[in-house]
Amino acid sequence: MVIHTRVALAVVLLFGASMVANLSAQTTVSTPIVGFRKTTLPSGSVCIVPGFVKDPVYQSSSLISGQNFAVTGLTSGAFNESSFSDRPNYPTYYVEIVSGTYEGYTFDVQSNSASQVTVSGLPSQLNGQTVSIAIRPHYKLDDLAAGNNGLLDYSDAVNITNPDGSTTTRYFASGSWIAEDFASPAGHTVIYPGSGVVFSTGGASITTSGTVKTTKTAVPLYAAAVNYVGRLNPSGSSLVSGMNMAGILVPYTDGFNVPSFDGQMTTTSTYYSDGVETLDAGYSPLAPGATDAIPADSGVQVSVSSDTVWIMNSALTP
Amino acid sequence: MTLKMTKSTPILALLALLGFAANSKAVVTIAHVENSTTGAFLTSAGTSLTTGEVSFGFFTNSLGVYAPTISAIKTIGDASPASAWSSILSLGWTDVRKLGTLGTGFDPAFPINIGATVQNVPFASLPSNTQLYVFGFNAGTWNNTAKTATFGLATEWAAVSIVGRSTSADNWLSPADGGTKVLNFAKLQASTAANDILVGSLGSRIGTSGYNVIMIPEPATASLVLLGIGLLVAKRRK
Repeated sequence: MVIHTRVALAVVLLFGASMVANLSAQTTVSTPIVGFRKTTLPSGSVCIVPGFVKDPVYQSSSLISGQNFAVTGLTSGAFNESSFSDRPNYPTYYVEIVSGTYEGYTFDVQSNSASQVTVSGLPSQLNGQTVSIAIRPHYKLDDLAAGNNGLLDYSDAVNITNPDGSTTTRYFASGSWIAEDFASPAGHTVIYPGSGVVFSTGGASITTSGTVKTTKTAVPLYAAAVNYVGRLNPSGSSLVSGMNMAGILVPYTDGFNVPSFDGQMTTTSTYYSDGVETLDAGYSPLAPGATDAIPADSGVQVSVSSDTVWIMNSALTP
Repeated sequence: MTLKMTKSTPILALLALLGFAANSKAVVTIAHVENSTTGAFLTSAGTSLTTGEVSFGFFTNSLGVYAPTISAIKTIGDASPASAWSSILSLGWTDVRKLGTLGTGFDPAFPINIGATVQNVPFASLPSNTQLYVFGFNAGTWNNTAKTATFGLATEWAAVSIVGRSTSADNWLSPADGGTKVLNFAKLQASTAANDILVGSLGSRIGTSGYNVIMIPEPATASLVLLGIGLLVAKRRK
């Protein structure tokens, strides 16, 4: 049984509002579910997983060739990586495959021309295939702070765990974020879909907004790190039974903890897998209808023994 | 309660160990910043420091982490600054650089701006709510390879640790698993400075939220100042 310590949250989902930028005649007009959510952060540290993504700026079917997606009608360079003080090539957009075997996989955009988008990390198995894609702007730390109330300069911070287990720390200052040296601008720091940050404050509130995903999301999990991840679910808490993680955890070895949302990040419950079902801390399968849940806006700490990918269902999928 | 050994007990024990290992990578981040917004250590004369560094961390003894008595640290402040560092070490001082990794652009040295982030400090070594301290020295450096320092060269120093506030976030206590704690002087208050500044004194206000902290001089210097004041008073009485 997970004890919730969440305070009241306000959620407004606006159905049918479309904010899609029609950059191309090929763009599929859609009516995404958009909304916003105010989250109260207790004094101390909590895991925050933004429940929204940004609206796609381009959607179409696309032929893959090497590391390139074929597109039409784009403005050359519109999605190029940007240069920031701490990193010369920083992704600001990503391509997401939105159907098929690779549904939910995302790839950072390096550059684009009018007719193709070049990404990194595209599996060779996809070469020559035609897939449905969406190109979205990345969700950044600045997005997380945009509607804040009470964040303190040079005091409140977020930690982001990197794939190698190292930590990236960002401090709030003057409405944006700065890097570990307390000087370099870092508001552009990306929060990948389904990934979480550990937010440390003296008590504040943030308001997140965006689109509710209706498709799957692929979230990489790294063996070298404690992975803070969670469901893209802005409507409230998420059931552990709905995590769909049992199949990727090494039986009786890998596991995940649910941290408390009271500022102390204490482990409220631990789960493992037998390869098929999610097991509780006593290595018993979760009972049908178990109400074990992850606090709203938060996530879990996953430890895996080898790198893998968690395929997260949309929050709209039971 | 009596534990019964069964055939499955060793397996479950092993599984429990494996499960425990899942948490072994837990780390926290500790940072210290001094700039024109937060405030900074100043010399005993109230001027900006041009040499020296800060050391920030916590104390341990044979039982684990602990907080020395305030008087124990104030007593060190009554002695020569040259002996302060060794006395602090003898109390069980652990600079967090001994345990973690230095963040990008790590700069603990005067003059300001100081921006010092230490990441990946094992949570097992620094459990949450451990009292944290910042020491400023006007001379000496930290050798991060040897994990030693030459702060015994200092002729002035100061010590700060904010505790006892009703608002827990104001206190300089280590964060929860995965979290960050920034130690800065923005939380200092005139009304509580005597408790928070263990060695040194409260300096001028910086902006709307910061304070400077004045280091104490060498006793010899302080004694000369007092002697001078005494002589002046005596001369005027004559």
